[in-house]
Amino acid sequence: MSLRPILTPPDARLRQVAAPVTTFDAALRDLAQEMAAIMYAAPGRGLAAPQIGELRRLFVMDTGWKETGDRAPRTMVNPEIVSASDATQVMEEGCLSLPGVPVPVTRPAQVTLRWQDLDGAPREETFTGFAATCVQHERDHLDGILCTDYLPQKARAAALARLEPRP
Amino acid sequence: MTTRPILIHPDPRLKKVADPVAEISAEMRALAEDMLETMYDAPGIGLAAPQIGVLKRLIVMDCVKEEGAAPQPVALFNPEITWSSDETSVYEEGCLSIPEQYAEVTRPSEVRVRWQDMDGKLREEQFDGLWATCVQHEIDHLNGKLFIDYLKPMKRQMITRKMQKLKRERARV
Repeated sequence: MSLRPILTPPDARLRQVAAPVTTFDAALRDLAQEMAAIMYAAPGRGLAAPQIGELRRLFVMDTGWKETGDRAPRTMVNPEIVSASDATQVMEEGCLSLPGVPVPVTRPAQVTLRWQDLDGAPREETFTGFAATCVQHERDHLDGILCTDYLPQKARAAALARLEPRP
Repeated sequence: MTTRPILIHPDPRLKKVADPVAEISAEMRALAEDMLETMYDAPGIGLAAPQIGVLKRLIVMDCVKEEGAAPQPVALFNPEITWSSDETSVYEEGCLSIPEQYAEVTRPSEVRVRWQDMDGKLREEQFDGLWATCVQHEIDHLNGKLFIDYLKPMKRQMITRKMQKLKRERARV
């Protein structure tokens, strides 16, 4: 069995602002599980709901599984960045919606994220390093922002031209 | 481990009832490993032996469990559904033998499955969520059934025609 495809540009759903999640039910849990399965199969470290056409504010991530082999998917619902460091870092970001196009992006090196878990309970945590970049990247998807948007116009066009067709 | 080519619908081997695995030999275990590699490579979350042209009752899946639980790739020999819930759920399903086609299918939302593991040990477990759908989708393959068989004839024929075209195109390359 395979799962629904990950959208790529120029799909308009990647560019929309997703709606807040208000109901924390079994259907939301199922969606999070499906998103995790799609993320692992891709394989990737993060996936936001709009990337599979669900315009709802949630993403899944697992920053370490490729190295450790252990999977620990986390689901962040209605995530907000409540503080960000002045210090920045540059990372080569990959995106499942931009296959074959790693993009260098400068972002705050440390962010505090507030979100709700699958039961609707509020959570807050501070992320650094790759995880900090990852939560900001996924959070951006919920507002229709792609990592290529941070590139100067010329570099952006060149990056999108390198986009590999998803098989 | 090697990846094996996946059969594309329509293919008579995808319509056959597969034979039980009499003995879980080293050869069968190697087949399961190949199937897992083929599944990851595709990428997919489940694969049945008939999809690589082996008419044996063997499926593989990779189950992502709830947060905190240890997920494991699993190989299920001679899997059987021993109970299904009345409650149903709907997932947008796709199949590695029917590339790039997706459709909503309604199935029982929970099932109990009995199978033999890699060591031949009998096991039974309850599946829910996506994994209930996946295990039913894969067991269907062992009975010659595809997810498009649940769709209305018009839609099924449309998908089948697309697959015939895809196979012609692939044969030309």
